[in-house]
Amino acid sequence: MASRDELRIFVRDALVAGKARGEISTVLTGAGWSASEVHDALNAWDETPFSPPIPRPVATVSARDFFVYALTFGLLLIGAFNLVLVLQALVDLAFAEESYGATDLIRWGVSVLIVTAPLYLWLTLRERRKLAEDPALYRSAIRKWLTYLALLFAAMTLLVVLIATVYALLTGDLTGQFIAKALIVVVVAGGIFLFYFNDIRRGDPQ
Amino acid sequence: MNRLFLVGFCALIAAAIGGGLWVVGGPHHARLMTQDADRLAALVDWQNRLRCVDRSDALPASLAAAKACPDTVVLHDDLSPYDAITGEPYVYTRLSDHEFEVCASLALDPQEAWETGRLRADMELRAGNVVCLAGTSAPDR
Repeated sequence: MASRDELRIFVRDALVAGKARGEISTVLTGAGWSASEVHDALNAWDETPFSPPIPRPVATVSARDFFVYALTFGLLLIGAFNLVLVLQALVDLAFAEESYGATDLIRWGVSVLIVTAPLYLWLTLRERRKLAEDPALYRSAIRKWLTYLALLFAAMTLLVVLIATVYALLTGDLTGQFIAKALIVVVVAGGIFLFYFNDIRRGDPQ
Repeated sequence: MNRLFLVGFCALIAAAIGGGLWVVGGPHHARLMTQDADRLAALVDWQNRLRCVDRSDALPASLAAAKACPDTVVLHDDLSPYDAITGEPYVYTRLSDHEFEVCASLALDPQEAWETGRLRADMELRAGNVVCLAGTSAPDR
């Protein structure tokens, strides 16, 4: 069974031989390749009438990208969780006369934020500077995956808050304290979602 | 647009850090809270030890004279009649042959000790950050 590399080489050779794209598509479909495989294989070459055919840019994967983006994503996850933790503990203290353990929670959360926030900010600004200098970095597959993962986490968090709010409403527990805590999660998760959504839109102009 | 988000997040994080530190206090405040928690734990230990004294015996004249009770779980193994930080003795008062009171002076407002989970409802708060715990010897016998 032929691999995708062989398919790619076949398409290249066919284009070099001057075959029309429709003709190539027909013979490949007839040989058992699926429509999406044929589309991807043809799409790998620019349609400019130039010989040899010009390859289109492809997504890149590098160990450096994995290190930088996984670290940034991890810092975002830990930082956002602790930001919510601190703000919610402050709300608890504002609403409750005594809140056992809240001060320890705040101390821990503040410690995490003092370490993770500047590091996340530095990594993000550094990466944005690099992206501005070299737009080819937008093609990093790891960057794209982890950005979508951040979007998924943010969207799931927003959904859970929405469900918890409806549940609190139905059980009669929709207090001012609950609303304030839910709003904190919405602001943090919503902000992260919009931030990365804008980012991915900028990287994917199509 | 994203620059605005970054600035907003920085402001939110700064507010969380600033607000958090303002509410919980700095390292010195945290140390004082831990010391107060130890004092309250010592009061509970002394109460347990004195409640262990047999009803047929009178309460000891001083905390130093109180014998350890083998059946009681203590929070401090090295229970001392003196405050470990200030060196001042815990104030022990025999209200009668079988009733007693042990008091400690806290460094902070006793209400803050709620946070440590060591301030109990049966502790009496007095002026000057003094907390007292009363009891009766061998109450269950």
